[in-house]
Amino acid sequence: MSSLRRFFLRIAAFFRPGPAERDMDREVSSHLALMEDEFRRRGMTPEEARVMARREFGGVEQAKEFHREERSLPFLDRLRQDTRYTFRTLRKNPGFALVAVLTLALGIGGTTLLFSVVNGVLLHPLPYPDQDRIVDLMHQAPGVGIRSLASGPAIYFGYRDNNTVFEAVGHWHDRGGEVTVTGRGDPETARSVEVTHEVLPVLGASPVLGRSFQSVDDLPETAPTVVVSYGFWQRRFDGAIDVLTQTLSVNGVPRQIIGVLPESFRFFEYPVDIFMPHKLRRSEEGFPSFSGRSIARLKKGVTLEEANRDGARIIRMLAEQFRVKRFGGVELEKAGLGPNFRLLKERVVGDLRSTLWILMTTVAMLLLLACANVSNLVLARSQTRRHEFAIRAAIGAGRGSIARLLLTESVLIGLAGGVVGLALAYWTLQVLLSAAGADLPDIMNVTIDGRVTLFALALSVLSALILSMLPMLHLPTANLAAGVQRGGRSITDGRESNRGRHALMVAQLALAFTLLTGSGLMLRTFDALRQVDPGFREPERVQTFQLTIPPALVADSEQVVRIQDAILDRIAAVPGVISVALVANDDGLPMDNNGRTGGYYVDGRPSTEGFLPWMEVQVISPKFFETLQTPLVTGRSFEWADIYGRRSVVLVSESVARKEWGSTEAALGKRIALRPTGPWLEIVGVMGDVHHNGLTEPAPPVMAFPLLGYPSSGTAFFVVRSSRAGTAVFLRDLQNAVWSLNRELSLGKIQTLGEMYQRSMARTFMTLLILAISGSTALLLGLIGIYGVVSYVVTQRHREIGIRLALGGRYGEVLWMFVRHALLLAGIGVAIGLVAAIALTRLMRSQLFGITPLDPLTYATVGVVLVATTALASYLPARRAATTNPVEVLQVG
Amino acid sequence: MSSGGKHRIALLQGTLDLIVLRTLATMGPQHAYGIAARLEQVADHPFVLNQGTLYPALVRLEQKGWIKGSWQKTESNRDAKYYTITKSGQRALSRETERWQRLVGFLEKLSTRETS
Repeated sequence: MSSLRRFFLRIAAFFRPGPAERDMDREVSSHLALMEDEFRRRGMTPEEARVMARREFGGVEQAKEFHREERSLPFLDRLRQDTRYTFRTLRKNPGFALVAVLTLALGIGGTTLLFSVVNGVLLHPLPYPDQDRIVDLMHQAPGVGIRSLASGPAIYFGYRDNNTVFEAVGHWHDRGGEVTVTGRGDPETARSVEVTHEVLPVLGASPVLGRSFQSVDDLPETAPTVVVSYGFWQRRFDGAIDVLTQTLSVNGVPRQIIGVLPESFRFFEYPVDIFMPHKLRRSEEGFPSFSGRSIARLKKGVTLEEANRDGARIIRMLAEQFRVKRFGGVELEKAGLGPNFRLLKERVVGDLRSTLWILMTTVAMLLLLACANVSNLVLARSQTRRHEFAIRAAIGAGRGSIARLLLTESVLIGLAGGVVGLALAYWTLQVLLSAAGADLPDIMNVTIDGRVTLFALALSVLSALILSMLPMLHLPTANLAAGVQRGGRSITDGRESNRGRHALMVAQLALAFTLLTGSGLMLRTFDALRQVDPGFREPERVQTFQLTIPPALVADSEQVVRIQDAILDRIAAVPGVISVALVANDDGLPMDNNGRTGGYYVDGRPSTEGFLPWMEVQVISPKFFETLQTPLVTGRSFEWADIYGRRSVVLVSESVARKEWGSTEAALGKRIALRPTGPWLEIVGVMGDVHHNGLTEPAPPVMAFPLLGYPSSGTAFFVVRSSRAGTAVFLRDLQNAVWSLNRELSLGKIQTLGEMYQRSMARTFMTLLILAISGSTALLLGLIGIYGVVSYVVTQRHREIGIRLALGGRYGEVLWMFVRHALLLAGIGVAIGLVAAIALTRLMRSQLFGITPLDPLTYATVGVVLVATTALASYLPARRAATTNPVEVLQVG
Repeated sequence: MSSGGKHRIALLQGTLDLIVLRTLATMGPQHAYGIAARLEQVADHPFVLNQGTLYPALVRLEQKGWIKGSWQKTESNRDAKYYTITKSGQRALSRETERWQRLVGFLEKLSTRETS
């Protein structure tokens, strides 16, 4: 108790030394005064009494020091002293402090930034409890080359009723996609999903209000119900409690609201607001059929392999039950149809993982580089401070106290670097997040949280340790006493200190080479992507949005098309609209990572059994390709007469025409069909190829049908070309144009084609950006390093140079001596960097497009840049050396 | 600071605390000089004590809450910080004294056994 009290008082005394110090001074002088009084009383003169009192008292300052040590915390006191001293010396040398702190800040900032991304994406990928047990029930059929199949209703029933490994199995489908919600306020488009009653519990979601789905909700004959997201509840119902008594009209079907999900709940990467029961009728479901996805929660202690084994058993059982013998044109056994269950977090993180680890490694290297650079600075500084240290040692400072001073300095620089770096990371994160846009799934919250801050702090302490290590290792070899005598007047310096510096420089150049090669490859990739003709022009001027005409509103498909036709007319009348068209269904737009395909038969050509060629299917209105400015290579495009006249016509893309008929011209008038028996469709035109699946994927073969020529839903994507695309005013005009026809309809999934195009390059761009930033920072650091080292060596060998020049050495020779040395080091650095780059860039393969990881141009360019800049960075200080006046040097020396 | 000073403090620590407490308990409030003078008086042989070395003990005891200092006037009308033993100081004194006596008794027994 009393020692605890004392501990706190000591801390208090450390932080507020003033009062106690004054009290002590007063007490000591009163003590001395009392003694003097006493001695005077004994008959001494005042002078004698003062001397005597001092003697009896002992050392006054010493006693005060003991007092302080007892009163406060001596360790902290000394630390404070060292810190004050370091601050003073750093202030005297602001250039050093600034460069050191900024260099470290770059390293720490970069590493922290990347860690915050890794932290958000890899370490906490999903906001679901027990995410290690949530399994995505994927399938595969390696025998027919199918790596990834989703799941299907029959499979879901099979797993649900027969498995021994899962706590629960659920099935979901987002076929509804965007739905139109009416019934309260303006009609609104919202994202919906259909889930069986197990899905939400598997994801650990329990409603904040009302109830979740129960098995009875899944039955087709039960009245329609709906669960809404927290955001939707707040937005549309202002968070009213009576929401549970209300109904919501979804695509014209009234549904009872039964629950509201928690605010934190996210349905994978989709911003879903409307959850509806997935009503499946077992007797109607066939096997094998794949539609929707199944997820499950593993029982505790069950491994993924055990689950896969159990899944395989059930698939065999289903095949027997449904008498399925063949799959994908071959024997079932050969097709190898079976489960390929994966942990959900693997699926969501996907190949982002490799990207992030590459970036993390990169930036960790950068931190190392920054540390190397700063320790080089510290090393150079501790060399010049040798004299100071020697004097300190001479007047009694132990090796420990000098080491403590160096450590304090490093820690201060490290912490300052950490703070500035954290600020840098925070700022850059804002910029990067807005640049990355929708590329990162939005359930991944990338923020600078407590863990990231702690990480940054650990980094700064770590780098402080690295920083202080080198000069400290150096300390014992420096003969302190000799340092005083020579006062830095040695002619040449010890070789061992230069060897360390050279090693650092080589390491820096090797790292810079590796990073620059990485960013060079990304730059070439980006360039290659930019060169790819996407198949449309000026995408930023094409506004797209989704519009659904609910089946409950209009059921007849021709009626739907007539309404769409009318909407197109209204939109065409909006000021600034150049051209407008639509593509039916929710997957027709290019670069939407979505689409549907269909097999086809060519007239007059027998089809090979078991293998049907396929094409992407688009169902379009007239002017669709004109609006996107996809060139019509030959023939004509559709007109409304094709649609309402139900003519059997079709368009195909250029690559199909060339493959099937040799040339685009030859394709005109030829016929294809979706079934071997027809109906046959005449090819009336050929349009250019479009990169539907992103720029890195080849343009798929496409066949385009006129509306009504192929089954489609009431959902369609509208494309509007206008220079006003993307502005809020334009969108309001579009919405009003639609409303002028029908108040129940609303726009959804609003974006420009340009945004979709940008997004397809976003990941490449982000990787490029980060690599380029770190690569150029590395180069800059490396050059500063070279410049610093050469300047240092030049100063160090000042006298030697003077002597050389006096003895008749040529300026050019002296100059070349330094540059040659730097180039030799650069050569070694490039050689090491080359090996590292070859090893590391292989990891980048999946990120690259249009080039190989060993792209010779990139390697050569980086090598040349590195050598050239090294030459320059060493030439500048070397020139100073070569112009030294030998007389001056020798006189001073 | 010389290591000799440290050594002496270390030797006196504990004993010095006890002596200060005992002095204040028997003599009532005293300033540092008073305590030092009393120590010289009581010591059997000339007690060589730098009076400054009292201060660490005083700080320690005050921080532990065993003594309390307050500024007062001496008879000669000088300012001086007078220390008083507190209640918890009294308790600590009896506890420590008992411990010391046990230790001394033990040492005595040990040394008589060894000499005999």
